[in-house]
Amino acid sequence: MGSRTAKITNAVTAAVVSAVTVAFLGHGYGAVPPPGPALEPGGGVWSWAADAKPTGSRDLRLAGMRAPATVAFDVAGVPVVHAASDHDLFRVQGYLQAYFRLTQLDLERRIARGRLAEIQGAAALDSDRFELQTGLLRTAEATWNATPPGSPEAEALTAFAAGVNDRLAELRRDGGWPSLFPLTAVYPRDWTPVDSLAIAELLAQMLGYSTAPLDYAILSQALGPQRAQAWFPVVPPNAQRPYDPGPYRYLGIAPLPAGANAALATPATTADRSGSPPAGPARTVPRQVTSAATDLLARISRLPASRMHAYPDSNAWAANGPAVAGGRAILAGDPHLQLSLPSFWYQMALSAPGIEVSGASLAGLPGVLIGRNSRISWSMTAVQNQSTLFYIEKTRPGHPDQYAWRGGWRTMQRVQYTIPVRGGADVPVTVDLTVHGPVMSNAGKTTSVWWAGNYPSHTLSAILGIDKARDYTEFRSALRDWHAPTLNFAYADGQGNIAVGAAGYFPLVKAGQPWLPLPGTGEYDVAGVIPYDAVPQVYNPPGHVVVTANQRPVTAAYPYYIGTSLDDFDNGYRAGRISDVLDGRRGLTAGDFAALQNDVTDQLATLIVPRLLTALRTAPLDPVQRAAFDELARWDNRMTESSTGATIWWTFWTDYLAGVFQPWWDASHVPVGTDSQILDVAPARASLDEDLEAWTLRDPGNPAFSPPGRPPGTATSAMRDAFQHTLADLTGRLGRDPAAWRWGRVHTREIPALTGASGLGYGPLPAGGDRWTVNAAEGGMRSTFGPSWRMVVTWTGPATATAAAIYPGGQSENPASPWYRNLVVDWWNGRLRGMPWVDDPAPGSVVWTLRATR
Amino acid sequence: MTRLDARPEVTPRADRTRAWPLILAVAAAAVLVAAATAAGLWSGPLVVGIALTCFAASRHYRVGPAVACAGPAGLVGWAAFLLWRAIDGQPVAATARTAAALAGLPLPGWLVIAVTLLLATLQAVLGGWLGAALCALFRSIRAR
Repeated sequence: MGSRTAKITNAVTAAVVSAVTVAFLGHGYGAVPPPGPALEPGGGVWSWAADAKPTGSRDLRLAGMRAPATVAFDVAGVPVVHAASDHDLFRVQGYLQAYFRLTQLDLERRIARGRLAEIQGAAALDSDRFELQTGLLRTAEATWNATPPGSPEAEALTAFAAGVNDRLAELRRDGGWPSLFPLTAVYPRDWTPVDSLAIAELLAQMLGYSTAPLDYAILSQALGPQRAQAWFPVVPPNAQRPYDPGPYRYLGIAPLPAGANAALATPATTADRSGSPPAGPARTVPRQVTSAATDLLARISRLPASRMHAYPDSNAWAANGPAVAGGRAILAGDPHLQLSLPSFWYQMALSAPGIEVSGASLAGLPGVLIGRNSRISWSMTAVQNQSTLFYIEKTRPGHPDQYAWRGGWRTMQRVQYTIPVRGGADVPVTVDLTVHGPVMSNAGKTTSVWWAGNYPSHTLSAILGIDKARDYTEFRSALRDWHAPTLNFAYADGQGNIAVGAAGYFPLVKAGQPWLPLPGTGEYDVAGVIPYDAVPQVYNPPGHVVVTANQRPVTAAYPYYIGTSLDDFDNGYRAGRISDVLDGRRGLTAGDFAALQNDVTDQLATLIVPRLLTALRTAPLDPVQRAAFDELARWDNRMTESSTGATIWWTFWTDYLAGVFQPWWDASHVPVGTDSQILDVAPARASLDEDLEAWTLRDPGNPAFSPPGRPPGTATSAMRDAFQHTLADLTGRLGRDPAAWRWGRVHTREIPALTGASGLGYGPLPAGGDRWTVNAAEGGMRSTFGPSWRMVVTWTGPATATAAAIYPGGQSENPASPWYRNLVVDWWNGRLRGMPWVDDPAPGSVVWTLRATR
Repeated sequence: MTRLDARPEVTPRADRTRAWPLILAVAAAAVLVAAATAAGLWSGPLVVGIALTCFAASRHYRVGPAVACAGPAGLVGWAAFLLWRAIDGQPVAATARTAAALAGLPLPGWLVIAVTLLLATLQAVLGGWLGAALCALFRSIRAR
């Protein structure tokens, strides 16, 4: 009897243990994914190993293909697609992007849709709440609803989505999922056109959404309105080289369509023409406004740095006529973004009747965003104008869902969302919408945001238009549909024409100071935008060179307000350096352009170091200081990895900024922690760089050198003090031999994995460059921002060009693939690779043929 | 009346001392585990572990060794499939490193492979235990 009991006990125990184990292995627990399906060698994470094998020629069947298409890969995995129609072309493009970048596509659409927590768990809730409030999904849906069925953009988006779904169907049938999905047991849903549009919205946010008015409010409250306006002016105090020097025309204002959040179109009326000095007396910012700003900035600071517009981005320039060898035109472009593996870009060449284009496509979108077609070439930089305005809504006592607007009370529109959370309960989110946009904070004051990206935009129509454009007229015409982010498009064509022109919304308010949060009662609403024909632009200038590097694109004479120096306009040093190299040159070649893309000369150093040396010549220096002085005196202003002068210069400039501004910050109790990325004193603040440069060169007795509680000072005394600090700092960190203070010891560059997984990125490694060298290394001393794509296109005839490009990454997102980071070394060393063109003979031996399903 | 000795399934017949049927069964079990994972059945080692011990019990083998053999069968089945991937040119080690990194675990790649094989072993042993326990119970019930 006892034996039987023991057997029963044993069997029950075995059954229970087995059941629990199987349940855990099959379903996981909480946020722990199911280990069984995740780790089984026939599928799970291991099936991605098959995808990482070097690809061979294949014959593939895709449902819905109307005719066979071919994809020829070069040795680096760059595909050249030949199809018989736009439909097949974009379908194959969707298929290829899903084949090589599915994790990226899914993660980016999750970010944009506010569904990241579904795969990343509660840690992503801040991101999801913010994006649902901001409304990328609402705008993407509104854009799709406004897209005429049967239009080229609708056809392209639909075909692209079908191509992605072809790949998803294959994976569901055959397995082979990228590892992230079996590891989380959260698999992608079918792709829709709205997903592509949401990703376009995400890019718009990264390049155009700024918290500058909130930061301005905090600075204004702390430093006082007069000092804030003096130090963060509309027109920068340093000498810059706008690409559009004028003359300008005031063409009134263009009306805006009804916003995604507004039930009515804002009528076009007059706008405040505050193009140069700030209009009206400096306004004191109420403390409740800064409370709202503080709350919102605290939330935004918890998002990944790349989510907002964080750094000035991108260079592009072109030259023509006598300035270039051959007399036609050369274009160079290197957009700067958060670097990641995989990159935002997926390089490809596309060919179908009516379209031949090669360059960088944005993962998730049909078409090519930067590149060349058979007649024209283009690249882009961010304009950095003010595209975000914040409104303080006056809510009705006892009715917090109502706000005052145009003399009456208006009820907010309410939208409800549910965020699924991996390993946790669903989280409801409620978003209130005003006529200005979504309410972002109710702390202190109800604050809503007007953002240009919240208007439905025909971005894809513009992309397809420029992909097919044959001349500048068609190019500019296509960009008329581009609304956000506001970009400068650099252009060169086979006829020898060059240009830079902005495209996108430049909002204009009816009244008030738009660099601060504005009252939401109606009098300060956005009245419209700068008309397309009046936005900054230049075409075939007499100097035969055009340069855009995020500098303020116009002079103080421009008749419209476009932002203050606290917006992300660059301090102008990259543009200055590029212009210095190109202006007046003859016979420039593609090699010259490529070399300039990798230039690490610090333009500000060329201006300031002579002043510093002058200040130090009459100062008593100890032997170490004397050695550092000598290093600096010998320095060629280049931020090379091995340079010691670079280390001394950069540390000096950092200390100089801190020495001049920090006492003011301390005395004024600037709440730096609220948004350290913008509010602290550092070389990444363009306004402070510009102020200090201007004072050092032209106003060395500026009162700013005499902060409260300190003895009166000058630029000379401040530079001497900063140099002392620099030497103390470097001696402490790097030793007493200045010859050993190589820049690469303190400055590195890293390309992190898009997933954030450590070990799947590249670096950090010692690197040259700094924040404002042409080869920019942005994002701090461990730089993760920089040139995300470098391209040079040389036109040798009306329809003939040679083009080369490189980007830091690889075509595949699979870290085990030979195409994961195979392009990084060339990029790091400043080499370009020939861009495959549609007429080239098959660039490699690997050819995929895609046909309709039998 | 059921016998009360500790190991009722052990019989003295000479042919039961011959190991080769069990070895063959273990080899077949490993093949089955590999085939199951090829078909996407992650629970193959568990099922095969159950089958292996039931087979042993039906042939009146000692169940303990059969349970012990289930583990290697599961391990070999999954290891064989990973080995096939490697021979096919698939970067198994790099994929293991990727999986560890994506899971946020500071593990070397080989440890991910080891955990995978341990999972197969654990399942198979568990299956063996379950199979043995159920067979013993059924036999006991039948003997009544």
